Amino acid sequence: MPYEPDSRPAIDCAELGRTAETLVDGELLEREQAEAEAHLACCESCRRTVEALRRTRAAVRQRLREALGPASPHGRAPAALRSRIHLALAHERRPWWRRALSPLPLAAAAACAAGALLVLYTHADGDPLADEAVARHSRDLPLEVTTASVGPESVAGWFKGKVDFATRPPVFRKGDVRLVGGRISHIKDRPAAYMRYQLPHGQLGLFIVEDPERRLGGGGRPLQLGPATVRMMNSHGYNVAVWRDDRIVYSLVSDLDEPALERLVEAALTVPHP
Amino acid sequence: MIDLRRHSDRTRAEFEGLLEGQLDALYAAAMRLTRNARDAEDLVQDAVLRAYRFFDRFERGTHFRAWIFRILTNTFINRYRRSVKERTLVDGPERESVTEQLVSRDAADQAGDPERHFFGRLVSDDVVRAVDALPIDFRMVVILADLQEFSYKEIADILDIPVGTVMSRLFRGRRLLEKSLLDYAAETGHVPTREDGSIDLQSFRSRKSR
Repeated sequence: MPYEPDSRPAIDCAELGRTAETLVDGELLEREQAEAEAHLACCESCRRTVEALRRTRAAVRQRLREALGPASPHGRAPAALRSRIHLALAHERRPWWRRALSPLPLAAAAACAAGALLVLYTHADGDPLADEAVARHSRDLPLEVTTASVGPESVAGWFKGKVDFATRPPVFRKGDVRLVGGRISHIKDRPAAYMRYQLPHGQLGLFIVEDPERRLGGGGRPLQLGPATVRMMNSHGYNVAVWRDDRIVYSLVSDLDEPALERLVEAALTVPHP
Repeated sequence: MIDLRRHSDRTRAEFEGLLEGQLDALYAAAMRLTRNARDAEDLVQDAVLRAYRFFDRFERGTHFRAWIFRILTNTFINRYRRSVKERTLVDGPERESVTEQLVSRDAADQAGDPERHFFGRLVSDDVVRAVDALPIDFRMVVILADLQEFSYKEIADILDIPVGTVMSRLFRGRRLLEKSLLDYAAETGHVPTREDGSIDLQSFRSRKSR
């Protein structure tokens, strides 16, 4: 007998063998656990067995983590999947009455009423600038500079020397907007300064890009907000406001609804840049 | 109307917040269930959208991770119905699991340290191959237990099977997996084999300790 006769454990070696794996998994009931421990306390052979099993379990789990966990490509959701899910959720979220009142039919109705050209308003959906900005924003790549690391005042300055234009983001006065950070991005193959903002419920992504040839930002529905003409576009469930300040084009991607985005942009553009 | 809208934004933000911490794990599980990246992405997206639609039924404060894994495996089972052959393979007599636990005890007795050493030398592709070769019911349970580290009870809830079935599938799945891993390790020369092709852990151990 591998255990001392006077200790009278409640279970024998065969019994322990049957529960060893459950023991190693930490899944025995309290009573079973106590019985197993009593047996192990006086059985060297079973102790070795359980230890070996424990090492094997730990080794296999470690290999599984290395091969299939977040450190391997098998265990990391691809960026494209994240972006697809984000877009799908944005669509899913929209209640029926919003879909019925989507910008396109509204714009079309307004256009007919005003006798304007319908074709102008079909740009409201599917503008290439808005599409690209939304795709890049929703990909949610890691930020290269964060407010947490350099302070909110220094984020715009971080872009100096990295992009060929002065980065002067608007100051958002309304809607509890908090700058999170920024990164270098691209819009239409041009380097863009990208800044991400946190809202109480949702996010904003601002792209600033230089466009001296004035090729960008012609689509959407024009609105006069403060001193600027802002074009409102919709892409994949996001509303995008695009405006220009001389050579610089600003594209603001948001999950706000259109009136809220208009108010936010209007408040930002009617104050001078810092 | 504005209130409705606000509620909906808040719900989405909350859902996305909870989802963020689980997306990699869901994808990792989906990859091993479907065994290819395209199906895995589709499966995760389907499951996430289903979860979002049923998010009002999720009880706040309970385990979101187990809840969404349950939806993932359900979606998988519904979409990729398993063959009859695989079913019979799994639901063998219960006593088999007991025998296998005893056998495993022998193997563990012998293996110990060497096992840790040569498992450590396996390349990730071998691990992926060994996991993917498991019959689907074993694979699901092993992934949930040894990669995602769910408890027996959680796995029982996720897969809607009794705890006893979780245990027998897990133990048998582990034996199959360990055997494949040993075979791969032997193939790549990390473990010595005897003339009859079986693995000679004893000589491996003595060689290590020299």
